[in-house]
Amino acid sequence: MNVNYTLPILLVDDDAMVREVLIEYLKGYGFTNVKAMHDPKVALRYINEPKNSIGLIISDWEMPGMTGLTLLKAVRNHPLRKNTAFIMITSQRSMERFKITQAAQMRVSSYVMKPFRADVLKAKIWEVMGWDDASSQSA
Amino acid sequence: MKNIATAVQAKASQNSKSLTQKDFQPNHRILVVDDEKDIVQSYIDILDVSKISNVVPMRSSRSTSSAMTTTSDPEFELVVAKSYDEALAIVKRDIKQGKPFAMGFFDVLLGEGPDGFDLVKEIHAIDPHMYAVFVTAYNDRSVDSIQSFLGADKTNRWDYLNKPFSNGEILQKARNFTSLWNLNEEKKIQDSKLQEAQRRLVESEKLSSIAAVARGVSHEFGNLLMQIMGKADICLTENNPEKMKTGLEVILDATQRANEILEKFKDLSNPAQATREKSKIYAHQILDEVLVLMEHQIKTQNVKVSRIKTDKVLVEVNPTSLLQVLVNLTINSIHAMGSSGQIDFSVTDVGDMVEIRVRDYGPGIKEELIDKVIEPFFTTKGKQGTGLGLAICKEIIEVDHRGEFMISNHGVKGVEAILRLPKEAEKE
Repeated sequence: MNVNYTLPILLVDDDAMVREVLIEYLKGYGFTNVKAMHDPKVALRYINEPKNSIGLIISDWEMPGMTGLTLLKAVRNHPLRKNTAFIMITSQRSMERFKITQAAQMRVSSYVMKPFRADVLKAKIWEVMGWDDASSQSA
Repeated sequence: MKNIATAVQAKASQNSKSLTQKDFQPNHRILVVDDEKDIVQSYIDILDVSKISNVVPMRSSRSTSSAMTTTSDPEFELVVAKSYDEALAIVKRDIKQGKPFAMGFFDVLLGEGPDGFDLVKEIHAIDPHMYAVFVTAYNDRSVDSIQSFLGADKTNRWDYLNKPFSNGEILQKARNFTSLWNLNEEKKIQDSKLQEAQRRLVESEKLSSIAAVARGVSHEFGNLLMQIMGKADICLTENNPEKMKTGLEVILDATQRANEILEKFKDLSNPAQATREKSKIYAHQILDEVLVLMEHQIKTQNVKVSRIKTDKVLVEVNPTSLLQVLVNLTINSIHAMGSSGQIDFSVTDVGDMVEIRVRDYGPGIKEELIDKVIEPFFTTKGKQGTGLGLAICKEIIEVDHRGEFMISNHGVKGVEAILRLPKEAEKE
């Protein structure tokens, strides 16, 4: 499948600097339609609004007020978004196995562990979107 | 019927045994030192048959060895010595084997040479815990002179009886002193166990607050490494000197911050290495560190932090201990409020002291418990709490820092911890 660089991506991470890096990553891959949010509750409202177009959600796990898992559950329970690709970002290594299991139960599309280099996230996105091999694409 | 009665008795004796510490072995060993055969026999008769009914035949001249041991009676174990030298040898041997005597009956006149007082003085040099009862036919020595001979520190370790003694006197002295010996030893064991248990609890309390901080640090590190790795990666792929420069600045800031967090965490997790030395520091600087360490928990629990007042006051403290106290109070506040709420921190100059207040907006402490929360081992957190957090805080503030530590319900809502520390003069 051909890469869709206008894919509407929703990025949720409470850490401003990490968010900035991730936006730069995504823009570096060539994406032009990235919406970044720091508050998962605001993100949830955005997700629940049917008129918003979302092709991929990338969310941090550990956030104040609401975890990425809660967000994932809400997405999966939403009739319009139940099949929306969702990539989870985690940072606490000791909790990894437990988290992955939980996220897998909620059909997370993929997960990635902080810190990661640009090509790692890119490969994950290409994989979950079913696009042709990321390494053969020019960003 | 008889069988039932026996069973009940056996059960009763089991119960009374279980009251004593499992690894405490009661000691019923008595040394009798007397060179007269008939007197020795009376001791054996009195102490040996005392617990069994009168119909039991006396077990008397069954041993020809000079040191006779009777072990069949569970109440006492009797060892007999006929001379000064023999008694001393037995005591030395048994101490080596870890079998001390609880008490001894000492004839004062032991033939030629040293007497019973000399013997007990010598024995106390080997085993200071053994009780001694002097048995004499002559009032040749006053109680005061015995006291000064044996030493004031041994006053409660000896007693005396005049010959001829009654059975009741011997039996009662034997029971008194063996049970006294056992009480003392048991208490010693319990005290050391208690100390050990307390030490462990203090350790585990420290560890649980460290674990809470560690989770936050680990999360924080994930984010910092993400910034470093991400920016480095972006710098590499983009051929833009301007962007590279800002990227490197972000990387430097992140490494700086990671290092700061690590330093603080190291101090907290290893207080033995962190010096107990005090240093002069502004009170609010400690609070700044606490908020760095607790940032993650504060954020994930959706807690709002409000620094109500921040006076600039110099204190002389051990920064690590004070950090531990404030981390502990902050964790308590977060626990008290559940998933959201607010914590107010203030640092106020109040004359010759500085006052640090940590206040939450939780449900507060029940009035009847307010005086108990600082007591060691009191906890409202069930099995999760050791009940030592606040006790340690109080110790650190009041003993180590000559300050004051108080916990009370805030007039409006929640709990307020108030700590006061002596102010240090600003350098001229």
